[in-house]
Amino acid sequence: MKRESVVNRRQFLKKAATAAASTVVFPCVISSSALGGAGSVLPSNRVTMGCIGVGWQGGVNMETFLSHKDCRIIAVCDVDKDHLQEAVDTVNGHYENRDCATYSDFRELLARDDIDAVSIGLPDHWHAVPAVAAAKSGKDIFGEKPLSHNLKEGRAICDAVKRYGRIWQTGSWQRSEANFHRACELVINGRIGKVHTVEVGLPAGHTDFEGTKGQEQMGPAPSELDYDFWLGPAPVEPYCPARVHKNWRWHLDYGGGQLMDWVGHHVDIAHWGLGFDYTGPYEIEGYGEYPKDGLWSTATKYRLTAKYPRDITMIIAGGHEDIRRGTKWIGQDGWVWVNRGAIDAEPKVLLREKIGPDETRLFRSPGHWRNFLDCVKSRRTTLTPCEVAHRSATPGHLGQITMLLGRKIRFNPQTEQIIGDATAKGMLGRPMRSPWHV
Amino acid sequence: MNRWARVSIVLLIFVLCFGLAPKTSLAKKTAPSIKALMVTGQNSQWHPWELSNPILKQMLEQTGLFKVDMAISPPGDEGIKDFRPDFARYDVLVINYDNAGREGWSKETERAFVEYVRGGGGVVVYHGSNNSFPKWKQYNEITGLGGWGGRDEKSGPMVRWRDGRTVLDYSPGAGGSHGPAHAFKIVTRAKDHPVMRGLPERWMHAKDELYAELRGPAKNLTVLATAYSDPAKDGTGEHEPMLFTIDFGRGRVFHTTLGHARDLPLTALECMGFIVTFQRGAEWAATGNVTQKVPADFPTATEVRRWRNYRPPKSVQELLGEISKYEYGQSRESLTELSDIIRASYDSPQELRQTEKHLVKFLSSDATLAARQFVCKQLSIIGTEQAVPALAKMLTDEETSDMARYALERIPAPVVDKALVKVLGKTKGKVKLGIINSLGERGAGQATDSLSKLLKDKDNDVALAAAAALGKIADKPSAAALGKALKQASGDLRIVVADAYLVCADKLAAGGDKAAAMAIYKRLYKSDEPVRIRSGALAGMVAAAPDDATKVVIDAISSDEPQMQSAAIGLVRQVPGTKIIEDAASKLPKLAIVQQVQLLSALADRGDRAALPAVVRAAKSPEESVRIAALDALGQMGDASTVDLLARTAASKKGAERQAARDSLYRLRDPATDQKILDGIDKAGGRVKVELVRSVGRRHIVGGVDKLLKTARDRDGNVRQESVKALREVAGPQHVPALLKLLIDAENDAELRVIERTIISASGKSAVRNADAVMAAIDSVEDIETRCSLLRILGGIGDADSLDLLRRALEEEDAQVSTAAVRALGDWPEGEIAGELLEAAEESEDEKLTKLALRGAIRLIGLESDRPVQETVELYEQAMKLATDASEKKLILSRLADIEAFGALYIAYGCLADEQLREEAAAAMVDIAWDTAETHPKQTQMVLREVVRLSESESVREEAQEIMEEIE
Repeated sequence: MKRESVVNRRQFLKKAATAAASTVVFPCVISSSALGGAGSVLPSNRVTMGCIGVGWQGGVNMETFLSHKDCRIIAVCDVDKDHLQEAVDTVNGHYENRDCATYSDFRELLARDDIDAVSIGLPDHWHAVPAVAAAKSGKDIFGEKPLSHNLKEGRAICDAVKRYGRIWQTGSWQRSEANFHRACELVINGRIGKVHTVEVGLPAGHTDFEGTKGQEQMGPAPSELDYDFWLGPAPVEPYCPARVHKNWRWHLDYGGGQLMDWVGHHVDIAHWGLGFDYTGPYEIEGYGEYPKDGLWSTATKYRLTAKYPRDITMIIAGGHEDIRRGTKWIGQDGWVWVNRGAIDAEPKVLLREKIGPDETRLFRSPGHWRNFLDCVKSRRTTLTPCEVAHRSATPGHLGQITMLLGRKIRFNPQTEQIIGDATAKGMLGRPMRSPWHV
Repeated sequence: MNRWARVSIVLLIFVLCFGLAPKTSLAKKTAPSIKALMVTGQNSQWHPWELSNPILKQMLEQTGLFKVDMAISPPGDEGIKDFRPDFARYDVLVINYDNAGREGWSKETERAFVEYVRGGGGVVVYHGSNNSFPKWKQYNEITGLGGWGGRDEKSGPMVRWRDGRTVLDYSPGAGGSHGPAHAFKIVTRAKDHPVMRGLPERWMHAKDELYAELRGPAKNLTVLATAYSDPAKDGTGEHEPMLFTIDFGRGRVFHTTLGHARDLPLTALECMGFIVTFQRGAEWAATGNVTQKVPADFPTATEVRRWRNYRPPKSVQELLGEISKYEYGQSRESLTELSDIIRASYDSPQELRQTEKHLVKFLSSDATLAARQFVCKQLSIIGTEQAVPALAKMLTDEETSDMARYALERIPAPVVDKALVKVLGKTKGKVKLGIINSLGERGAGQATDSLSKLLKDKDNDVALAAAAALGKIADKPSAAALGKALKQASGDLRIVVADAYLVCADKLAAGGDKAAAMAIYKRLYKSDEPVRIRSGALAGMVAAAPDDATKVVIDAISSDEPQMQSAAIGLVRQVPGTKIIEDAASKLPKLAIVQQVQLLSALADRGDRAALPAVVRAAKSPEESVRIAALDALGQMGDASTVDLLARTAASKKGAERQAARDSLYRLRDPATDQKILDGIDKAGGRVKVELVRSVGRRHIVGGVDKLLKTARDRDGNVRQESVKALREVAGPQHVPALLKLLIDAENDAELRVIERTIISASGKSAVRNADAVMAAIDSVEDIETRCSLLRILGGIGDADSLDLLRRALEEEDAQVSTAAVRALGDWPEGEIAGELLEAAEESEDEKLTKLALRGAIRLIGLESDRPVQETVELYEQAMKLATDASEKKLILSRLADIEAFGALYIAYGCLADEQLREEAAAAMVDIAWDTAETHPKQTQMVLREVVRLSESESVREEAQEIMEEIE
């Protein structure tokens, strides 16, 4: 009897997962060894890359790509000359030559025909424009989470990438970690029964990443920084150190605070485990606490409740002690919790469960950056394509709107339109400063 | 809606409403001087503190008198005993706490609370807080009266107002009741009391629960106000106390039974009568006096007054006046205040339109650009038609054009498009580009004509922007304009037009006009535009009509352009049906290596077995990367017939190819696969047999246990070993006897060890630790190696019944046996026997054995256990004494860091002098010191000083310093 119910549940989940997908999606399982690999690489089998934005995460991605022998970084781009110099020195030092080109305008880098792929590591407000331009110019793209500054820009990225048949990988690297993979396979195969609640715990407050907190004296930008270019599509406000590098995240014009920093990790994982990679919530509400003064404007404490298909409620919270940091799926027969470097479950025996060949197997990554290079060659969908990243960010985008408006939002995940609220609908996108557009 | 969802939205609304709620006329200009602590953190389902508390806090803060801190306890029992607010630092405690029958606070916290009040501290008891702690005697003396939680006549009398005086009613019955919430009249009974002075004698309280039949000690209780509990409203027919005070020791307690707050609207909390008495009561409890003036619109005997009706201290105009001089870098408090006001009026369209008028007027004032940009951002949320003219005026000025668009682009009125088109001719450069972009973003059909003309603009950027905008507008006229432009344009404009044309087609298709879209796709596909445009058109054709796409995709795969081939291969995933699979598979051998790999990936993703023969052939390709891709594809689409191929490949190849074959063998989905593998084992030999055996484990074929038990006795040593390893995955406790037989018959020590691990793993799958079979076997075994192995297995299983046996083995003279016993005990899954093992270490004369026992013991001490911390500390102390070399001591130090006890700190401190151990000791000490800083501040500080003096690690020294400062 018990066995039978388990099987039925799995079948149900499989069906639901298929039905939820809005596009044709095939199970993506490939062994790590099928493509690429170590050893010497023929130039014809080498991916040439350009890196746009190399200050922080962009620089980390760049260095990771350097370590892969079957790719070659031949150009770097940044609006901060110091960042640019450091990056080109790193690249040239690694290859022991002076071949890497430098650009301060990404459009010039994208105009090069000898570049196969780009890695984009820019502030959120600069995600969409270069990504869409890169897709149009026929480049494959490694982009960062959250996919975009707002929902409409995310849709524009997805459409362009699809239109031009580009390969996209998002820096939601948790999917490439064994413990997250394990947790998601347990959940998607019904090991905790029907899931009714998912708790996603994120950080709160503002983290002073760059040590510029409080440096809000407006003044001229330092000569190494092309500040007007840095602002790009965002509204003009004068320069101050707390506004730019790394801490831009705490200003709503450029980033989305802790919520948007983390939504592409823990919500991304939540979706993976639920088979919700291609759908989203149909209703969301919540509240946030915002600073009354000072430059930084993103919510410091927040709590969102999103309703998903299959009667699943997702709580996304930062600064609420009852929601444990990480992702926790709660089902009728137990729960699974996962965070960086940790996994737990109730009942504990779940942790020793085996997933058989007849069950849903999630893609086992050979490494997040590796997977991107493999897919550039095989033209296969990556572990975190932009459509998936867009869906992972969606509860965050909608959350920002529900918090700012102070009311519940209803949403159609198929059309990606807000239902019956023209004001909220307007907030799905943001007008860009001239001349930028996507 | 679940409770949390409801609470969160209610909370939000109220934080917003009250966030802009008026500072009442009671506001003081001087800095707040009364230190208040709100004690909260637990609810019953009726009293969600997270809802009420922020609002109560604001009420206090708005008097300008209180500096409010919060003490929030854990929500449940967990950690509640560590809840230790520093009551003594405050002038008044505001209790908003319904513990709903949970465990109480620690004795220490209870005592601190009582001492605080007795010593002269002020307390405000709010509404449901009198439901808390029914069994805590002093709490009830402090609150005077309480309700529910099993309260009855034993809790004390009821207090009623009869014939102009307070009467204690001892009649039996449950304590606490109320009828449905309703508005009711409050009557002042002590008009000279500071809290009540100046309040009307009678006033209407807004809809609330009317608490009745509260019971408690009621000692030194003064009734300030009552309300008639009307039997028509399920009341008692008595005048029940609503507001009262209690003298407890030298402390003053103000108790308000009012203010129920759970469901929308929060009428009771919004009532001016509640707010004013709460604010006054808190001041009185803190100081014994009330300096606040009664506001003019206090409720009257007939009329409820709500806080929201108060006139805001600052109107929108006033705030705009302040904002008009705003520059970046200045405080944006007024900006926040204004946006909060706007946010709070989102639900009242009339108010919003009024506000919008003020904002619109502001735009044409001489306000700073920063201020106008802020206002434009507000208008981008609330703007309507009435804002359009003023915004449109700003469009032509380079300084204000962008900010005007921030608002205009989002306003859904068609007049916006008109206004934008109108200024097109009057603008140039960046300003013009912005306007074009906005028209595109808005999909403004009425701009098509104007934009089409701009395709030929002298300014190339303008032409590019116009093309992109036309693509987004995506109606028939814009499609026609782009189609025409494509013929004429050249250079970068041509690329942008072609891209816009594609965007346009995608939008037409999405909007249902597939015929129009298809015409564009076909035109572009056949054009001589760059391959990325043509392949984009192909993708569009497939998306718009997937059922008709087979031929065009196959033709493209057969083209002579590698990029087009790759794009088409990718699209194989999108075309339904089997024909595409067969046709594509037939092209496979003719493709270049790179495209072969790509096509194999696409076929793998489709998983359609129609491609199987072609993929099997590809698995024998001379090109390794093709073979690997094919083997990988077999995992997706292969059936049982491919078992042989995969097993043979795994057996004969190396590296990535072997791995691909193995991975695929492990994930074949055909239900016949498992049987095929099991049957294959009998026929196969050598390495192929090894691979098949291995796959039984990896595929978790539970039905293969018997077969594996047989192959575990194979002549081939590799097969034997692989079988035992595979059994680790599939064998359960019921197979232990058979596995024991294998163990006994093992040929050599290496095999023994492998079987040993398998037996432990199989036993571990049982719900209870049971080593019966192993214990039974030990008696019959003569061979010393096997006996030792069995002992080690006992350790791995950890059945308590086998402990005595192990203890006896420990005493045996044969060093091999006692060593095995020590190992077994060291592997024990629970920490209780740590002490025993330490003793064994102490008693043994064999140095090796001592070390082994010591290391085992250190492991066991560190396991989770119920033993008191003090005992754990003693065990570590003992282990430290026994440890002879630095590595053991370091191991102990690393474990000590997790212990929250001063004893642990002391042990680590003992190692600080040893240069070899110094840094480990220092690191452990700072870890522990965070916890001992509170319990042993002086001693902690003393030893930390040594850390600062001796440690060479900067971060450790800094942390030590930090803790010391904390202690100060």
